[in-house]
Amino acid sequence: MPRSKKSVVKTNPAATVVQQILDLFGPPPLLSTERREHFEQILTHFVTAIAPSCAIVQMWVYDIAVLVWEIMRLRRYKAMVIEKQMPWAFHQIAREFFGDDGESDPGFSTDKYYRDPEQRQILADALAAYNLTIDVVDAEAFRSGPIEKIESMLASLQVRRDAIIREIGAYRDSLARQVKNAIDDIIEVPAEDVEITPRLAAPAGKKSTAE
Amino acid sequence: MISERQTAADRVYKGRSTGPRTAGGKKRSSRNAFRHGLSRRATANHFDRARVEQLTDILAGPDAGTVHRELATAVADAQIDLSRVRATKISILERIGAVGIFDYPANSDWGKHVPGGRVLLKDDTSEELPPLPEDDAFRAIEVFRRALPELLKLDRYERRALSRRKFAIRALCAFTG
Repeated sequence: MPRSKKSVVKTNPAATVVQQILDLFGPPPLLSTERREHFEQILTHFVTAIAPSCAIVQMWVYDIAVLVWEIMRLRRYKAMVIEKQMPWAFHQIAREFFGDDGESDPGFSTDKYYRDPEQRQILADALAAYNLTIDVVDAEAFRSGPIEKIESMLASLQVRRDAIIREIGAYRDSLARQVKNAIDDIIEVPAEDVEITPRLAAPAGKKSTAE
Repeated sequence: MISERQTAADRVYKGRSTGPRTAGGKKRSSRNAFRHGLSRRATANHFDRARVEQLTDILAGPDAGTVHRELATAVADAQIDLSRVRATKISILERIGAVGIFDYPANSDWGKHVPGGRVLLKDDTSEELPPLPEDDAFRAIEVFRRALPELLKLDRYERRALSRRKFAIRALCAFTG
């Protein structure tokens, strides 16, 4: 008999852990323009992959989800900054090559090279004369704006994420060592110290094979 | 290095400024340097203290001894500090998204004439910034650009909280074996 969707959600262990984590560490740090469901999807993915067994590992898993979310946000910003700088970058490069490019005209638009493919081709041809490609415009867009600071913030977040991954590894190694030591304590007991209780009493008058 | 001219001016004016005299003035000036309160520990605030205790209960468990509980509190304290820094970062972005600037202009009724909360500055503000763009993508990036100096300043608080938490967890794990 097929189970209802509701019962599947209820019995999903990852969803339960995600809810526990959110209850424990509070609402995730999201902007009003960001959707909580997307964050929960990411968190569920990490919970499924890492299977946190205690509150400390849950804390790290939550941290990784938050850091990954921030990294994604910064990458989105970085792409938008470059996109925003592109018309300006085209204009800057065009100015370098063509000098005053009719800027005094009333109909002049700084994004004409960005918008108009024909104008863009004219610029590309001018660049080609100097063995340059249109990539210099990308470089110009990249050079300007707060890209460098965003890069530094991204690097910092990635370092933090990696540090947490290492902490989880060290914690699990230590846990594994403890379990191994506990197993060794039991297995490596001298044979004479182990009392064997026979399951059935030997029949009277018959010698046990153990004797 | 302080110049001789500055030193001489200090000597002349030192007697004239005696600072705030009334209790209200003293109270106000005591908060002059207050920025976001992240230098304070989480336990200094009643609401955050309750959150620290709740997390400590979960980390240490019900039968924990004093030392165990103390170590768990250090972890919880650092964790709550970390979430405060993250919440502050979000609030800075939200605030700039709403009013266009991080620092509210002194003695101005900003926001009074703001249609739909989209236009941001009044004429009497010291720092003239253009309104945020209407386009959502450009608006987001402009908000981020304006917030960047403050976000970079908060980075050290986050780094410190993470470092404190790391060592607190190590101490807790060493204790619990």
